[in-house]
Amino acid sequence: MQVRISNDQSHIFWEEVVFTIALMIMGIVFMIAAATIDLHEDTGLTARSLPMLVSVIITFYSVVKATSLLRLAYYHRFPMIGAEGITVKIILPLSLTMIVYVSLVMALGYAIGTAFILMIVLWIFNIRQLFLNFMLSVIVATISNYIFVDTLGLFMPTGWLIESIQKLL
Amino acid sequence: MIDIIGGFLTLLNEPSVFGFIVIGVLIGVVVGALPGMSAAATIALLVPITLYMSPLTALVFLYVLGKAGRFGGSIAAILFNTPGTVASSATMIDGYQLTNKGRSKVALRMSAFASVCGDLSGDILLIFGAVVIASYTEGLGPPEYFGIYFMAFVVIGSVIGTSVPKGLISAAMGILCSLIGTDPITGAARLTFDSLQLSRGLGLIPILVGIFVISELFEQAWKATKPGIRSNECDSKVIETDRNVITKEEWRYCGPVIFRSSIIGSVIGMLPGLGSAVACFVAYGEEKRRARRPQLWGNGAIEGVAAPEAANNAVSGPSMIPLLVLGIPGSTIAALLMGVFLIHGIQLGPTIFETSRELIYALFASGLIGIISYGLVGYYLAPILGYYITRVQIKYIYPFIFVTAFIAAYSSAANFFDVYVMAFFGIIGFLMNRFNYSTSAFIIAFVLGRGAEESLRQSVLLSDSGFFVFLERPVALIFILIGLIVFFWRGMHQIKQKDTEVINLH
Repeated sequence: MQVRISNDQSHIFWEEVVFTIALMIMGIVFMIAAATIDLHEDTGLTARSLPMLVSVIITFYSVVKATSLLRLAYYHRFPMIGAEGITVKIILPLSLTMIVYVSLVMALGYAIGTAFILMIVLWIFNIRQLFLNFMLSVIVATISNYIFVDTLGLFMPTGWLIESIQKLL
Repeated sequence: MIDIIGGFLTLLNEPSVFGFIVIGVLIGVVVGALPGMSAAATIALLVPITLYMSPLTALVFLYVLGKAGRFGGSIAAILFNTPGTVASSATMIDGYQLTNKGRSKVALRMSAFASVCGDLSGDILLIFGAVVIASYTEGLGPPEYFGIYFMAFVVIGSVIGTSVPKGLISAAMGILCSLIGTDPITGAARLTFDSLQLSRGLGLIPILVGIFVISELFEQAWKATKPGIRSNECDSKVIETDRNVITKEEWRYCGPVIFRSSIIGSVIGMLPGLGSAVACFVAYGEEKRRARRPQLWGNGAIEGVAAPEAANNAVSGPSMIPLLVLGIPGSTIAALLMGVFLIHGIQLGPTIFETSRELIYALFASGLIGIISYGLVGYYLAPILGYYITRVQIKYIYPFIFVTAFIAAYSSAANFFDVYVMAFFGIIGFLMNRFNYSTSAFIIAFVLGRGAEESLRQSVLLSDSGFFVFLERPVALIFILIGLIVFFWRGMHQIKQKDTEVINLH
């Protein structure tokens, strides 16, 4: 069998190694969680049977896959994983979605929080003319606020920062 | 026949449905045509909005959108050499060559005509075949249902995607996620990690939005940050010539091609997991083999547009058969529609033609109207749509989809936890796509997981012979064997391929 992985693909390879190890850890965690499920009655097929079986299959697969990938890496002397790959492509969008947006909405309320996050996302998507970026964000945030908060009654906090400023004033 | 006429009459009683058919067609064609957008992602995004609609309106809107989206993919394939959907990949081969020759209008019109013919034939099979199949499945018990679920998991896991193990593991991950929550038989909390939010189980909508919408946004954001990788922006070279009408000779060549490809697509559509991507290549390959003008294939043969388009759209109707009569979705869009059925409290299965007869036939009738509508839009407006789509930069749309996705996830149960679930599964979906794991197999397995577990445990509980019950029930055994045969066949095929090919990780 001929194996060829070019240098520019090696970071993708390492990302897959990390993903497979993460899958293995997930499988083990779910196996432990499945082991804690109450047996209740022993009918031959209990509440824990299927979760246990499926997590064992996933763990087994990921152990075999990770081992074969690492063996391949050893023979081909791939460079170590760069922080760039995982950080820029995974952690950054995660931070944006999970932390920045939720925090902004909680602090500034729906409309301003949405406008801010849109500016950031538009920036990431290479729309970097300040005026266009700002106007697009404000217009869409206003429309979203009108539709989802004012019209459809989506519950959203006023924002603690805005409330604090209001109290001060 | 009377039932389908009844279906049209039901639609007349709810005239607003016609408006939603038109909206569904327009949205479907546009998102299908936009590279980087898919009908599945759009449906996932729109499911929360349909919570406020009547069940009929909601289903009609999304069903028609899915159909139109399949056709819309061909516009991008023909004009920009970029398939709007995977199902249009085969159309691209000859369609783009026709565009290069200045015959884009011909290709688009033939694509619209073939899509309508294929889709109509698929829907006829659905309308008349589903009732017949439902009458056979009425007597099925839990062991037979488990046999069918088992077959669906194995076939979908093995057939979707490029790698059998990765497909099966994707399905296993979907099953595992479906098991989070309360045990259906004993009521015990499972895999909840003592979280009250998890004890209710994972919501379908946040997972759908995460897997299909957020993951795509991550993918595009990743491309935008990577120099040298073009995101989905289009170059158009629509050059009109005076040969932009379909000649009589071309109609004569394409007629039998459309007929045969429609049959191929309809048959493939009934099999869970195969879907329109497989149908279009099978039809293209088969027609190329039988071609009367083989020298033209690959260089702008009009039959090369007709064959895949008829086949990939013919899949749409039959893929609903396993969903309606067994509650087992055969495709991603069918899995999304299953979610809509469940949200509106409509029980899928063989009795659906008794319990929700009016609704189902109205849905079929709306499908027929939708086909004609997108056919007209495609035949007369596709060139104009294509012209405008070249001017749309998808990067301007993604940020707004990003915000709407949050709203969609939140509004499904007015719970912020669902937003976290969506973001988490967005990352999972992005990684799965990146490493060739199948998100479709994951979603279908997630939707089916609960039902499969219930039927397995009921079978074992109700039987004296434990697991041997599956050997005692021939129908169940047949389905299990079909699943195993497909698994071994695909596995052997892949091992043979691996022996010869150069492994390319991406």
